[in-house]
Amino acid sequence: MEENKVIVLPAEIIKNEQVAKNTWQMTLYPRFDFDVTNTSPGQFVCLEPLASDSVMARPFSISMISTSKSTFKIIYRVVGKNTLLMSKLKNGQTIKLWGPLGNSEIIDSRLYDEVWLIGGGIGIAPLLFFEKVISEYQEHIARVFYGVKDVLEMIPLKVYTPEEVQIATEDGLINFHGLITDLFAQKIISKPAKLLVITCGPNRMMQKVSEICQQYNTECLAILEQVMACGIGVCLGCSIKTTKGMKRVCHDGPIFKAEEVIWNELG
Amino acid sequence: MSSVDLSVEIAGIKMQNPIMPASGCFGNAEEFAQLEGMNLKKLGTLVSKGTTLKPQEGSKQPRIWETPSGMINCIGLENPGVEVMISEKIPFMAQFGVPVIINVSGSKYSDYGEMAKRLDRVKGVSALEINISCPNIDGGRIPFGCDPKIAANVVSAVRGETNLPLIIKLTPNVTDIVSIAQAIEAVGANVISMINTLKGVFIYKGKIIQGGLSGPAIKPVALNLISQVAQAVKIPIIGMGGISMLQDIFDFFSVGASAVAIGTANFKDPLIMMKLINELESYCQTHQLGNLDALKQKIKLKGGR
Repeated sequence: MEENKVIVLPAEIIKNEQVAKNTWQMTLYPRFDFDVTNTSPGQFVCLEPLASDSVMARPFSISMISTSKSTFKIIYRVVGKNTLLMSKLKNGQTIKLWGPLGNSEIIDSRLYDEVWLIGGGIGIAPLLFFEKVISEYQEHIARVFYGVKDVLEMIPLKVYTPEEVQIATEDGLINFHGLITDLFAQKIISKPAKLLVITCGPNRMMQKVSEICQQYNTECLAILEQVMACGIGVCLGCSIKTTKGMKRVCHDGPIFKAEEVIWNELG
Repeated sequence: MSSVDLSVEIAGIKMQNPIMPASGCFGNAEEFAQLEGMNLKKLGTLVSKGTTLKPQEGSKQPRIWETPSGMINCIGLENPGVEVMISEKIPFMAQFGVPVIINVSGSKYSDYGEMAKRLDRVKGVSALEINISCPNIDGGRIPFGCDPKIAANVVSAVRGETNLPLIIKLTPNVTDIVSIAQAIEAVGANVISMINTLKGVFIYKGKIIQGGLSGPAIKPVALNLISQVAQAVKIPIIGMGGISMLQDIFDFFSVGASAVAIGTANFKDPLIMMKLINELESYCQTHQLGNLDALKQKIKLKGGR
């Protein structure tokens, strides 16, 4: 596979299971020459919409890859007719997709004492891929922060880091009662010297994480989401204003330096 | 199997087949060039994103919204400006050996004239597509393309600066599209492309957002307007508006289009243009139609009511 090539192909569904309230995980086996080892955390694929009256591509973060099985996973919330149809797909069926999409800067976790991954709701999906990659090196330390509205929406996370997952629930039924940003604000007080924060979730949450990071002089990357029509950088539907000019979330992102994002222009 | 000649020549633009991308749904070809299975050398032409004299940031978010069988966009002509097009984008687009059409937009007559002047004789440019759906800032922000006289003035301004074939992209958001088509034909337009998006709005977080509706939802409107214009002018028409399958192409041909552009359908299937070119070729082979004239003869309308 040539570098930066985008592959369009039918992928076989290996597994499609509900993992939490309104939340599903799909394992896909892309046939032919889609090389899962050529994907990096933060990247995504577009799925062809399943509803016949839909016209726009559906982007989903890659949440995990298996190099031995040549498969990858996506985690999705059922929010409309297309994701509802996706949840009804059975093992062995195929779905058309294209990817890998998005920027693929490899984060060198050796440069940091620790990498903290702050996920809100379904935003946890791409962070799981980050976590696995970082934890492959024993001396690298990843900590996962995971916030959900209610406990039923909480995906049981399988992580590779020995560090305990920090969980916040807004309904307060388990663990920290409140917003994940409040828990993060408490923990960052005793942060290591060289810390990298990577966040993905609702814009308001990521903005708050970014503000806290700036307060503590900590590097922060945000994985953004916008409605997309093509996912490949041609429609400009997902263009956002940044301090470095207009950027396409699908092509120049979805990973951005949080300080470069102009949060109140995200729509 | 016998070979099929799908070529068509429109105002001197020699196309190997009648299928091209619609401006705005194709970037400037760079991203599609990265797509495995996409052979840009096989397209009828390449068409650029809407270009303005100066770089433009475009609209704020939200910019797109899905609707039943369609979508509304208000991208706001985000583009790097004509100079970057000339120095970087056009040389890239010109390498595929198919005609390159540059789509230009302005907010004053002089913008159009100035862009035509700069694009004239730029190596690799085969034609200009003039988007006259943009608001005229010297004319109460009413789009140029909504008035026959004003539309003709834009074409005259461009015609005065270049001998390149001029494709005028008409907006459907008018009372009498025929009068506009006739007015631009009279002042030297070579081709008409139609239709641009239909004006529409969507509601986002309690705010009304204006944009243009595209996709299969607008195909019947496009067919209606093309059939009216085709009967009233002699210059050829590039048809567009919701084409996503071979039958759509036949329908556009049957109402008078000479070629077709694929827009929104590229988003749902980024290889759709390749698929349609292959399907068109194999349809002609199967039905022993040696060229597009033979095809058009076969799908000729048998009247109507």
